[in-house]
Amino acid sequence: MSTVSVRYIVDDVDAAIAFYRDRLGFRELMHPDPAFAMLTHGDLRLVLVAPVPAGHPGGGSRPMPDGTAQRPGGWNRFMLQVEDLPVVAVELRAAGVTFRNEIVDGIGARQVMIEDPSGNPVELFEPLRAEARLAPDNQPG
Amino acid sequence: MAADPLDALRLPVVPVDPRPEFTAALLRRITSAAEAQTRINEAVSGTSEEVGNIGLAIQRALDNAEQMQAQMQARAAAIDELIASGALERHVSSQPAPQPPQGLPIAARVRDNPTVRYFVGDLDAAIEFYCQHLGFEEELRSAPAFAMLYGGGLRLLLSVPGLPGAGRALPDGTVPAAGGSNRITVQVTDVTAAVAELRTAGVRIRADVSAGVAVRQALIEDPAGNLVELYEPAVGYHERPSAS
Repeated sequence: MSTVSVRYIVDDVDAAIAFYRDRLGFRELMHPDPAFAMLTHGDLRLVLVAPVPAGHPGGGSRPMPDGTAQRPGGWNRFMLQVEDLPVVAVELRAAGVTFRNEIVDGIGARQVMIEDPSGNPVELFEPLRAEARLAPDNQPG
Repeated sequence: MAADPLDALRLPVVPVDPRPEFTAALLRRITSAAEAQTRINEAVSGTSEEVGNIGLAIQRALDNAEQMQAQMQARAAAIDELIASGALERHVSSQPAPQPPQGLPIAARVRDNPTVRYFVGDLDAAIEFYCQHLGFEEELRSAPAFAMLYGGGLRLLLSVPGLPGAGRALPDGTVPAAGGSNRITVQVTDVTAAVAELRTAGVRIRADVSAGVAVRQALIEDPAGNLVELYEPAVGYHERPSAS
């Protein structure tokens, strides 16, 4: 059962589904509307929505009451644990994925930020200390 | 029945009684990972110093798993206390706790928590917001740059822009910032009541309750201006089958 849900705003839901499924191993749960899809990866549920007008039935990506449109981007992001980050990064680069930075060795983990086709960040990390590693296996469920 | 994300907090800790075939598969996987690491070490260092240490690596992996399980049990005990004290009841549904799936493999139990990083200008204010209003627990605080909170199955990392760690500038000088439209979503049992209570407490409501296709939802802001979505399942709400 997915216990955690994150909503990302994307320009193109189909392109986003392909990215999260083919590059990061997410599974598609539903895509009932061109502006809405729900994916899953382990205990994470990722809701992808494209901006819709105020009258649209989909409630998650309408403009704010003051008219502000919802947009992709920003810095807040979810994180995925990977094994052997340098190898993963090489593969993703070869597949044409955009990187915001180079791999950085932090205190607990080695990390890098990639972007989905709409420019939303996703952080990939590989624990550098035993206590930073919570899972023997990070395969999608 | 709709699942409350915080239901995970109420699951009793059941001693793991693995099936023998699963234990064997896990051991094979750990062994294979340790051997792979040894090969990498050899390739990097040009020596085979680690060759004799596969057993040691396996033991380390097993020790980590045990340590992890002990930590989870301690956490569950602490959460039981919180539930008993009523501290977690404010927005938590009153549905009966679901029974844990039987025969769940160890790997599923020790899976990493989904993790999200939010940028906040004021670390203390953000910690107070998430703990007081949304029932998160503080796991660690490395002031002034970083904190780690847990809420339901979510691990929320808070980083301060411009400070060491994830808040530092990118190579091109760009500094991370709070805000944007992407957000975590938190399930509540009565979104109207939750919004009313939060408003009274002085929390900024970015978008009041509205109806979507299968949920009723609202957007609130943390003190740094990051969005948090509150939602209440309605007719047609999708729930992933629990036997995944």
